[in-house]
Amino acid sequence: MSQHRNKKTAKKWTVGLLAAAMVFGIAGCGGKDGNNAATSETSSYNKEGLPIVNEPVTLKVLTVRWGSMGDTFTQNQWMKDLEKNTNVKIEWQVMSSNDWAEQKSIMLASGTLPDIILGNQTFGDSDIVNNLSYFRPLDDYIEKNMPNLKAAMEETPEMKKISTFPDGKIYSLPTRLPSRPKSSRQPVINKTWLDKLGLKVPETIDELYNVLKAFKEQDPNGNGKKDEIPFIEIGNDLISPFGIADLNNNNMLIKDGKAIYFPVSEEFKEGLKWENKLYAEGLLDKEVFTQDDTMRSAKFQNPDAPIVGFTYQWTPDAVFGKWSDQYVTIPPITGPDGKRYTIGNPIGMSLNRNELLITTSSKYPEVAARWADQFYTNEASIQNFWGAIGTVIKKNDDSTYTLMDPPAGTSADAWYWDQSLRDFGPKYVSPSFEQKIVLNPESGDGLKLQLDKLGSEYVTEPFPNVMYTSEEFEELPTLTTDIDGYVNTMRAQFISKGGIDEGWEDYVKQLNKMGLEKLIKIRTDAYSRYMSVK
Amino acid sequence: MKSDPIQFSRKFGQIKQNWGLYTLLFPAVVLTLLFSYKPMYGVLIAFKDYSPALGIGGSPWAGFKYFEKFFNSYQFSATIKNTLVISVYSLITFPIPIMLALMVNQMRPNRFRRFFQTISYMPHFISTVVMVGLMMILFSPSTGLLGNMYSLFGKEAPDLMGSAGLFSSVYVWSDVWQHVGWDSIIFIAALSAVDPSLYEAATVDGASRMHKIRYIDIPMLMPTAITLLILRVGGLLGVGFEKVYLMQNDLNITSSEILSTYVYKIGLLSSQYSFSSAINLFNTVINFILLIMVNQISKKLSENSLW
Amino acid sequence: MGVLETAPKGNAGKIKKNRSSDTIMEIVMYVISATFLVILIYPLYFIVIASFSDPSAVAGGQVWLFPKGFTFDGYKELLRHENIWIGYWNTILYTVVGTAIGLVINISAAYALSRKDLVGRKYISLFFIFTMFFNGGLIPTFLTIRDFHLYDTFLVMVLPFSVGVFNIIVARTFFQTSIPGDLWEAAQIDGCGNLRYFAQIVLPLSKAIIAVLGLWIAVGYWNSYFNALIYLKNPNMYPLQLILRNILITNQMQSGMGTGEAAQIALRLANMMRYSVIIVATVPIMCVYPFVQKYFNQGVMIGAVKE
Repeated sequence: MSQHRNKKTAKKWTVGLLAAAMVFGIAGCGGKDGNNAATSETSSYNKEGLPIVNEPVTLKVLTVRWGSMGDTFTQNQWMKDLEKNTNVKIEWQVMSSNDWAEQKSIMLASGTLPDIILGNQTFGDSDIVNNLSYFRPLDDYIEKNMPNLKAAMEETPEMKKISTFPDGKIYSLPTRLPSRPKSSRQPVINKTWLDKLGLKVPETIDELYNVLKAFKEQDPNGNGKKDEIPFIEIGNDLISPFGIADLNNNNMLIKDGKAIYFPVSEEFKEGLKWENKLYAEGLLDKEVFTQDDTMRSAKFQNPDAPIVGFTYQWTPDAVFGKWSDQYVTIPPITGPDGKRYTIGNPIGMSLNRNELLITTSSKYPEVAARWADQFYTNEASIQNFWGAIGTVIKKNDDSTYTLMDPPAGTSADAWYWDQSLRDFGPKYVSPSFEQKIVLNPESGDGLKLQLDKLGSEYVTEPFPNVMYTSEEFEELPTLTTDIDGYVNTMRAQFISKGGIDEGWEDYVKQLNKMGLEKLIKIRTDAYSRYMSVK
Repeated sequence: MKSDPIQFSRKFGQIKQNWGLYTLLFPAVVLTLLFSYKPMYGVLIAFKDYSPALGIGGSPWAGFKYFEKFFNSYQFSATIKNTLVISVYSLITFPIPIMLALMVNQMRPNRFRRFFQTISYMPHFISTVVMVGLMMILFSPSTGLLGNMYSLFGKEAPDLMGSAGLFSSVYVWSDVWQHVGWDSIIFIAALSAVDPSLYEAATVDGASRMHKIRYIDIPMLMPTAITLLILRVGGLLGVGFEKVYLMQNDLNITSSEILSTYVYKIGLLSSQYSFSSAINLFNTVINFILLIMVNQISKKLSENSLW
Repeated sequence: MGVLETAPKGNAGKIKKNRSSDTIMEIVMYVISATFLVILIYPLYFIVIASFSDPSAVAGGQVWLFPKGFTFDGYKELLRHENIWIGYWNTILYTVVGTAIGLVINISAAYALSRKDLVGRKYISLFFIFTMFFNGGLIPTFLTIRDFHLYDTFLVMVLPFSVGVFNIIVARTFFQTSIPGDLWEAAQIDGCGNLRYFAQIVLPLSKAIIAVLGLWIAVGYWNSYFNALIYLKNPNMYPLQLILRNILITNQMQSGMGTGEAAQIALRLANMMRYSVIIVATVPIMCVYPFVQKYFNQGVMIGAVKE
């Protein structure tokens, strides 16, 4: 009896709750501005020339910076001059990347967006594609209000290609960074050890194997202990000699103009066998799958003696601490097919999209567009990448540009981050202008360009940074979480425990069961869409 | 309620007489209504194709699409199983803080006891990131404390962080280490409510320490212990995400992918709000059903219940 | 309390026998607690020496018993961030005010719910417990806070989320077990109302649970950063933990910054401060414990109050 009564009350209660939830739900959806397509111009707006507006206008700009970098870049002299010359005042909203994931969903949900979103880590592809009504299509603005960008897109058509969305419109603006290398991480070896053991720089994977073996057994650091770790892995580099060079970490390759999913390929299988062999013989770091960045970096900078023989790095200088003199970058290792491969991009790793968005809630879209166009000149771009001319960059009489030395106690790279937008924001440096930038070949970007020559001719074409539709974005996260997760798990298994030949068939079967076909279709569809943009 | 007028007026009289108690409840009820119940329309996200730009009300209905997607997903059974293994395992360690409290209570109130208590609760303050970092360093088979101890005996240490089979043990026991002292605080406080005259009377009656623990201390702790146990069971699918996520690697992932980490990967990292809310809602409903069941059982067996 | 009825009746011989078993038990107990103490202390000691050591030596497993490459750099680097002091001040403010509010709200509600003669007790309990399981999620809660104009205010840090259902349940159980029901009947005869009885008789008898709840709430506020992350915009209002978090988290930076050098430096600095941060962030709150601890150790003389 009492049971029955309880149930009834509970039911009533739930219904009441649901009703309340509905009411609130409906209340919660109100208060959003419609698509504000009408272009409201201020009377003082100038279509060409400077200032952009006669009466000062304030635009809100949101950007995200790494960690605790803060907003020092806003003091860049070029930025200050821009404000003075254009009469456009900027109210910066600078967020930290650590907090952004949570803050982003709230900002999107609350619908209070600033005029301009800057930097490609602020909103990603899926944020934009899933909320298209927040952002203005910019094709017309580019045509009418952005002569610099328009010219840039004509000179470098990839700029347009990467920023065209699946509906054929451009919502976000691209960037082309100056002085970027073609190759990503390159092989780095301890030259002191090689010399001590009387070995030459390894050219092929067999020679590499012998070198690693010697590192392991012959105590090259001379401390009497077998503490040498012949190879430490950072990413998926060790299989690059097998033709697998995956720049964008999406497990895709372009082979003979076709996009393929490489974790089910023969090359990948052979690569795994080779890695398993190294692992079994103790030539690969035993803790490769369990350690974090801190532990890995402690191995590179081991205080008593260097203990790492071979690895892949961007540049060797910053990684090894006091041992960095011992390490040199070498040309890519030749694979079993007699060819060399390097991770990177033959057209240079300089292009990015989503660097600037103009929101539909902005009242001054033309002003914003014209403001943004100011960033697309060569001189503006280098000043937003390193720092202002006169503070960081020196313009020489022969119209070349050199970088000044950072203040004592500061590293060059950290100084540039302090002084400029650096990696983020719209930029365009033309290939011809790049010749005028003279960098110090001893460190930082200059050093990388120098080392790049060792590998740049072997750089393979990566699967491009393609764009997906909102329907595809609905499927993609589950597919990649499951499939790529399984690939990584099995890779770790295969390398550490072996059994590749026996387990391969089941592995491929399992991947198909998880929807591999669908994943490949989404990827190849997106690829052909990308290639079809003229 | 029965419409019996006498009973009704008796209830009403009781309400009137206890108005002070309702006053005491008032602030908590108001805050709960405003900040917990008012936003609750958010559960609708699980049944919609939510897009922030359209808002919850404006997003199109999706029905049970996302629930179906989760039930049909490859990860479904694996994540549920892993979550259950970890939470049932840690449920088994539930009595440890109680034992610690009983032991501390037996110590004479001297410096050693104070020192012991203070030390035992300190690990609670180590943040999860550092805790996991510490485990990696100490358990490293090549350079860690564990590795070196094994190598003293000429053996190779097991790779605790990289083993799928050992994952739940490493997770649960490191948790016990970190929180046992902290979790025992409430039991120590409950024991302090024992009337000392009870112990005196028991001593006169010739009771040993074991007897006192069994017949005075444990009955005193029972209601609190059962209450906490019921709540723990109600959180069975809610294994926290941060520590597991940080401990995950490609070698142990087969036993370390749990509901909350899966939701994190799919939901937050790639903005699949509806899908992750659906998984969360599923999780919550199961937990709530478990709570109701355990509460009923407890009501029958021990007369302790949450409501 | 009725526990004594079940205790064994003793005689002289039994007392003697029990004495010797008590001594054995005492020895066993101290052996166990000493072993336990070692297991607890070593990692804590490790954190202290690690905070004075060269970070690569720590991560490389070379720090054992003494600091290696002794240095104050971790502390120096940490204290170079001036906003840490603002963070400290904010955290203390939120902790003190938040704990005060939380104690008042939760203890009052818990006491009211502990009274069996509260009409609707069951439904009010369920009303609270329901919110432990179901919530609207981040976005609707944020919109609610914004609609109440609490976004970016001091109040949002101490008021809206001060109802802790878990705390209420635990405190309610404590009141039920340790405050005898006949005490209220006696007070009623003396003409004492609910509020006065609560303030003058119940609260003084409940120091232990107030201490536990106070500690829980205070530590919760001390360690929390998430609400600040979501509901505060002004960096001058950030609590300590949020500031420390931004200094320490560098993983994303690693994967994002191709140019590398600045990321390497950030990683090195973060490693350097990893352990000094724990010391700096937790020592103040740990100092609170001894003050709270003394309320756990004294028995409560309920008998004395009754007379």
